[in-house]
Amino acid sequence: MVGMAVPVCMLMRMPVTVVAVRMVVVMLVRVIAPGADVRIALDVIVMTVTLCVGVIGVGMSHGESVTQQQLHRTTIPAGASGHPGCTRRYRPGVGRGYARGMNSPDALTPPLSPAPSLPTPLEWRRFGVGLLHAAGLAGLGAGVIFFVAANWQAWGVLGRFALLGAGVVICAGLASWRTPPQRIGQGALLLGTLFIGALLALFGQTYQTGADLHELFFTWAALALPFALAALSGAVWAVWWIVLDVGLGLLCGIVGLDHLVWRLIAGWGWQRETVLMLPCVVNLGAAALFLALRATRFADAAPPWLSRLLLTIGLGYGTAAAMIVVLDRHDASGSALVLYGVFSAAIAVGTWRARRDVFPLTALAGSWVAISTVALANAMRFEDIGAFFVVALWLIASSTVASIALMRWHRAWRSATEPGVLP
Amino acid sequence: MTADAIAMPNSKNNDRPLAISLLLGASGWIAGLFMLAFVAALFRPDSTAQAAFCGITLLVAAWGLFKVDGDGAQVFVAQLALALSIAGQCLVLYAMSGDAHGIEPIANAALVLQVALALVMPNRLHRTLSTLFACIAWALTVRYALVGNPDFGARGDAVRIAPSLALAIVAWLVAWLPVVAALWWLIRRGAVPTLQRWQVVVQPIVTGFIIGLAFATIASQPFESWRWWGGGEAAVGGLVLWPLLSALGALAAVAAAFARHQRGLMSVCVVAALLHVSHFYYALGTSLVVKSLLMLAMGAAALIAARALRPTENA
Repeated sequence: MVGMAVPVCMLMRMPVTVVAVRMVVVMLVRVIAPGADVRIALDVIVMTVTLCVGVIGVGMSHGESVTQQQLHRTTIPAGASGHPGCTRRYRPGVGRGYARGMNSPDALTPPLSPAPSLPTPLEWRRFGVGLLHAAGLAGLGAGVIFFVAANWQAWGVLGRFALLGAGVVICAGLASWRTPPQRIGQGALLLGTLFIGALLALFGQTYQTGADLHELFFTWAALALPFALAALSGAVWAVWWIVLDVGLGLLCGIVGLDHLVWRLIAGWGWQRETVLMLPCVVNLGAAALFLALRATRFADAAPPWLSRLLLTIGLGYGTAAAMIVVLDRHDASGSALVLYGVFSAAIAVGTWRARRDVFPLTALAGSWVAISTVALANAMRFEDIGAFFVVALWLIASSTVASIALMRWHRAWRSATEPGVLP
Repeated sequence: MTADAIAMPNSKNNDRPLAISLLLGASGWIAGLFMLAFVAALFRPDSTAQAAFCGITLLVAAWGLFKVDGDGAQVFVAQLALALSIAGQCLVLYAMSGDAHGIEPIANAALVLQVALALVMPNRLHRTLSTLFACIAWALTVRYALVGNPDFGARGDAVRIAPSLALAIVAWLVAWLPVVAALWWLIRRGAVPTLQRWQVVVQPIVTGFIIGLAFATIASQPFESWRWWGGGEAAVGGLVLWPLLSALGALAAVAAAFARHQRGLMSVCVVAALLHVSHFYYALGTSLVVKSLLMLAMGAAALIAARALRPTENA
C-alpha cells in the first residue's frame, strides 16, 4: 500500500510531505503502541493522509472554481468588472479572497444565507389554531383509548359500551351536521375512527372472543372505512392506513405460516419474505392511488405527505423482505428480492418521468443502500479487520453517489417548476 | 479571526431536502461505527492516551476534510469526514471518561465535546448532529445532577425515586427550559445583523435544537422509572408526568420548525409528540384512569383555546 501511496503523493507533487508523515507516524506508533504492527499502521495512516491531502488539493481548486462561477452568476451585474460579458479581465485574486471567507468589498460580499423571516402575527395565529385543534383531537382520542384500556371496574359493562357507542354516534352526528370538508366534521370523523377501535377493543376485552389481534385491526379498518371515505381528509386516511398496516404487519410478520390464513399460501411454497411483500404491494398501490387522486377533485383528501408516508411504509416492508433474502435465512427464495427490484425500478422510472418530487428516489436509495450494506456485511463475515473498513467505505460511497444524483435532480426539477430557482 | 475561522461562506446545500440529509446522516453515522471498529481493531488503543491520540487525529482529519468541502459540493469528502468524526468522537469520549465509573462523567464529557464540535466543525449536518447529541448529553447531565446515579441491586432492581409532582415539574423545566430559551432566542434574534454573518453556524444548530427538543427529552427520564427485567412496581411519583411534558416540548419544537419554515421538520416533531403520548400510556406511577382524564381535559382545553384564537374574518 505504501508503494501505491507514494506515487499518488508524487502526483500531488508532495513527496517531502509524505516522507515527513512517514517518519512522524513511525515514531508515534512506536512510542504509543510498541506492540502494534507498524507496517500496517503506517500503510493505513499514509493512505488516509494521502487521501486527505489529495482531496484537500483537489477541493481547493474545485471549491474556488465553483465559488467563482457562483460569483459570476449571482452577484456581478452585467457589464460590471468581472462579469463574463465584460471585456476586462477577471481578477482571480478577488474570487480567492472571497472563497476563503476573507474580508471582501461590499459589492462582492457573498450572499450569506439570511435568517428565515419570522411568520407574521396572523400566520402565527392560524398556525396556533391548527396546532391546538390537532392536539385537542389527539388528546381526546388518546384519552378515550386510555380510558377503555383502564378497564375501569366502577362502570358496568353496559355503561362502558354505552359510553363508547354514544361517542361514535355523536361523532357521526357532528359530521352530518357540519359535513366535511368543514373542520368540525373532519375532526369528528377522526375521533369516531378512534372510538370504533376502542369499542372493538372493549368488546374483545369483555367477552374474550379468542380472536387474533390482527383480526381486531382488520375489523377496525373495515368498520372505519366509511368514516375515512366521508372525511375527505388526509389525516383520517393516515389513521385508517396505520390501522390497516398494523393488522397487515401482525398477519404477515408475526403470525406463523401454519396459521389458517396462510395454509393455502404455504401450499404454494411461499415463505416469510414472500408474505412480507403483500403489505409492500398494498402500501405502494395506495401511494400510487393517492398520487393519482391529486389530479382529481379529491385532491384535498390526498395530501402529498400521505403518499410519501405510504411509500415509506411499503418500501420498509419490501426492504425487510429483501434483507431476509440477502441474509439467506431459512433457505429463502430469491423471488421476493426480484419482485422488490421490479417494483423499485417501476417507482424509479415513474418518478423520473414525472420529474416533480425527488422523495421516492431518496427512499429507494436509502432502501437499497441498506440492503446492499447488509448483503456485503453478510458476505464478508468480518473475519479480518479490513471488512469493517470495506463496509464503512461502501456506506460512504453509496450514500454519496445517491445524494449527488438526488441533489442534481432535485435542483433541476425545482428550477423547471419554480421560477427564479437556479439549476 | 475566530469568527472568520468558524463562520463559513454560504453553503450551496441550504436547499437539501430533509430526506436526503437523513440518508446522508444515517449512512455517515453507521459508517462511523464501522470505522471505529476498524480503527479499534487495528490500533488497539487500550490506554486513554492511545485513544486520545487516535481520536484527535481522526477529528482533525475530519475537520480538514470538512474545511475543504466548504460549499458542500463534494459529498464523498463530507461523508468520509463524518465517518471519521464519529469514530474520533467515540475514541475521544473514551479517553475523556475512560477511568470514570457511571454514566454521569461520560455525559459531562460528551456535552463538552459536542458543544465544541457543533461550533468548530464546518459542516451543516455535523453541526446539527452535534447539537442533537449535546442536547442528549445535557439532559443526562442534568438528570444525574438532580437524582444521582441509578443504583441497580444484585437482582437488577434499581433503587427507585419518587419526587413530588412539583419537584418533578421543576426538574423537567430545569433540564429543558434552557434549551427552549436558547432556541427562542436564536430564532427571534436570527435577523439581527451581528447574528446574520453567523447564520451558517446558527441555522444547523437551531435545527439540532429543534430535533433535540422533540426527541431527546426521553433521555431525561430516569432509568428507575422504567420497569427493568420485570422488576417490581416503580414508585416514580411525579415523574409520570414527564412524557406529557416531553410531548409539550415536541409541540414547542413544531412551533420552532414552523418559525423556520421547515415543513419536513414539523412532521418529524409531530411524530415525536405522538411517541411521547405513547410513552405516557406505558409510564408507571399512576392509573390509566387518571391518565385518560388528564388527556381528555387537555384535549378539551386545546380545542376550546383553538376556538377562542380562531382569526376573525376581518383579520
